[in-house]
Amino acid sequence: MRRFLALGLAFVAGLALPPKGNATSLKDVQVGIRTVEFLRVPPRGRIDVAVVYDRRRKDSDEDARAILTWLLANPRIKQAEMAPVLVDIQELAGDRHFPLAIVANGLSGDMFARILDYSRTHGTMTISSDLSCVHAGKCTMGISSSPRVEVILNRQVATACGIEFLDAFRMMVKEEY
Amino acid sequence: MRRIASPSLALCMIFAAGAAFADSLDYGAYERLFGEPVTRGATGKPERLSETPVNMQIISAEDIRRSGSDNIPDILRFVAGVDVRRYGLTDADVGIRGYDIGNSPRVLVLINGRQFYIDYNTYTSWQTLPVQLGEIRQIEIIKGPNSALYGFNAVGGVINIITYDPLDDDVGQVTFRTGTQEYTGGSVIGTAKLGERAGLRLSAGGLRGHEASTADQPKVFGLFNRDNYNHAINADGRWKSPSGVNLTAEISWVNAQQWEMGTGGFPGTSFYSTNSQKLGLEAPTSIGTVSLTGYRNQIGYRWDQGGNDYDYTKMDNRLYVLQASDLFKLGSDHSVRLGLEFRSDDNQGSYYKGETMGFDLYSGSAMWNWQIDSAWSLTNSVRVDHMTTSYTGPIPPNVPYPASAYAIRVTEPSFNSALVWRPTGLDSVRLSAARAVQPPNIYQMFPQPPTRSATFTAGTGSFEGDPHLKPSIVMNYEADYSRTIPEWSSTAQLAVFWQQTRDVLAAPGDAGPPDANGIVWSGNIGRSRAVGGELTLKGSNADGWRWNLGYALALIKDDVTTNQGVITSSIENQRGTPVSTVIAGFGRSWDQFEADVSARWQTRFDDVAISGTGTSYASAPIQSYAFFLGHLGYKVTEDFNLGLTGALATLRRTSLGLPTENRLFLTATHGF
Repeated sequence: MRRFLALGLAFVAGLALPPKGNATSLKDVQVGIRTVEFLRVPPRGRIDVAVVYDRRRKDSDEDARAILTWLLANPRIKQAEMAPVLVDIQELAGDRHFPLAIVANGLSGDMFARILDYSRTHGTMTISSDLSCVHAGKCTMGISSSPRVEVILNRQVATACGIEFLDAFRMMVKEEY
Repeated sequence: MRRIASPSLALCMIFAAGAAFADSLDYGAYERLFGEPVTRGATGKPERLSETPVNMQIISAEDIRRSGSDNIPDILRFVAGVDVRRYGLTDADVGIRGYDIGNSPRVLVLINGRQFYIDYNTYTSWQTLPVQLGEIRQIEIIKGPNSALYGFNAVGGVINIITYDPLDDDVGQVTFRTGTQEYTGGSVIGTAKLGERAGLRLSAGGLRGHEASTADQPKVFGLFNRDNYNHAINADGRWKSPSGVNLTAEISWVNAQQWEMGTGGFPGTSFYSTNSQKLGLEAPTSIGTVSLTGYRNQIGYRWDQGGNDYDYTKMDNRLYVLQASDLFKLGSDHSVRLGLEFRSDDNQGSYYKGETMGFDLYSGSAMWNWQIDSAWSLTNSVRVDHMTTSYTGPIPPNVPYPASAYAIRVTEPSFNSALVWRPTGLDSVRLSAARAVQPPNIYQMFPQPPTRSATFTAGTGSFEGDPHLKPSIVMNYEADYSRTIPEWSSTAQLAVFWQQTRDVLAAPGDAGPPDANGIVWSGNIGRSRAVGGELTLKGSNADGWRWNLGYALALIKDDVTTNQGVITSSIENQRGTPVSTVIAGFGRSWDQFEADVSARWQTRFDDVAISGTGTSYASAPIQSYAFFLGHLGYKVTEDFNLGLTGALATLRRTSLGLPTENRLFLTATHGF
């Protein structure tokens, strides 16, 4: 009986903990960055890119660092060059303008709300492989690259952030409102 | 399906659809994004290949290059479900799912959406395509009818050739080829950017080769001219405004001569001189992406069988096409395309020095794609064509109709419908139905000059088009299953189809014997049914290996009035289609080398052509045979490549045309 109780408590505790995110694959990042090419007005020159994560969570920290490493190694998007930095979700505010943000895994709930607040006020395009962010209407773009590439565009978020994509792109991705 | 929250929001979404900017499809960028080719050739809407509502296969530029081939029909041989019948060094006809004959009428061929199918006699002369292999980005092959997008004549399938874009792509290449049959050929292709917003692509190329053998030439008409050649020039430009408006312009010119198997199984030498011009505009508007396209194709044609007066075969054909379309999204789940088209085809014949014949065509079309949920989608396309024909000129004395009888009106609907289910990210199931229309061509509808009567069965009579012909209607039902197999780095596809062609059209001479007045009429000769399918497996791995395996089955049952015991027509679909075809191709790249071998084996079929004295048809069995295409490539430097290609068949006579000679040629390519 005690064993069952312990298992039950462990289960409830597990539910109460923040969800453990799956690591963003490098292919996810690659696909996500490529979607920037299909903006109606693609970026030019140097653009600051935020890799948003939760410093308090190890998995989120590791995911963000892997993303950062990839971005530093592959900084070009057509006629733009990315300057990526890590930004803790708690510090995502203020005057610093990031036109593009990659959302690492391990974030949820009110953190997503904070991301939406920031992206609305700064016109930031937010990309995440954590599809719950885009399904919740907090991120612009959700990416899944396995087993096949799926791109989910939240039009409501995109419109709120003043982000427009090419018609052809919109025809080939899944759109949500 | 996501629900639209309120009517006002829905209204906003409608206008939001039109707020986005127009864009000319950057095939390369989308292919890099999705990891698979993209197309607009299935519905007019940009789509990933895996999501098209039609059975489409794409041959990539890399596939073309690695094949080592110098012509499109030989590349198409290795697509399961495509039949290629080679009649000479440069003449080949292509059928999809059977029905391949000389001057094959059932496959519509286009380059970047511009038709190069010859309306007046409903066929494609592959020699006259103004495109070099090195400038092709992809060849899209649609198996099955697609009249709802392309209009009349897309009844057996569509082959749409997509070239590199003058603005988005950067291509520069010089190619030289030489080989057996005194063959030489070459091409120059280049793109140039004029600032950031304008680009130009230029290409020029040609070939010359001789038919190798005169010993087995068709006996009725002398092979008086062994020369085959073509010269082609094409220029293609695009300008993109800061607001996203795209303006495009294309011009091309081709001069070609080849020995070919003509309509009705008449062999001879054809001379073509073609030119075309096209202008396009794609613009953002408040109602979606609006496209306007206009083009003009002119074909000068002459046919010669040597020593006879065939001056009457001269034809000056001019096709004018205007197209308008609007593509927009409604909400998140609905894409709509509306289209209008006007087409005018005029022919100036030379026999009476003044007869003209042709048609005007008006059509309206609509496509609606509904993404029902993440797994299901439904696509419906419908198009209605209204065609009016006219003839001015003398009527042969024994023809019982006045000129006014040739003013015909035809109105026919076409549709394509498909339900696609993607239960997982790896599987796709598609059920589709289609109706397509093939109207009679000019040769089948209008009076013909009487000269031909001297050489064929009519004796003192004549060959005449029948103004009362009905359009041929094709119905197609199909089920497809596709699965990506990551463990094998492959994609497997299975397709099963059932097809019926009603009122099969036959040209004069193909529809039966002369009537009491000695007139050989064209006709509707009955119906034909086909059942079959394809099973394919295609893939490649990181070790440099690639493979392409396929099997195609086509069982055709004709229920026609011709060829009942005695062969009276060159249209012999049932016995003229190989029942089974097996395809196997393997290749590997390593270091500076690459090697590819493709093989195609097909079962026997019967070919029909004009026989001995030119007064009747003869049918002959073409035994089962295999065709091999092998290519060995060596990268000498980063920009300079050498390739050796061999094309050989295990049977010398693969049709009733000229013998299929084994070929060997060397290709040198320099990129810049």
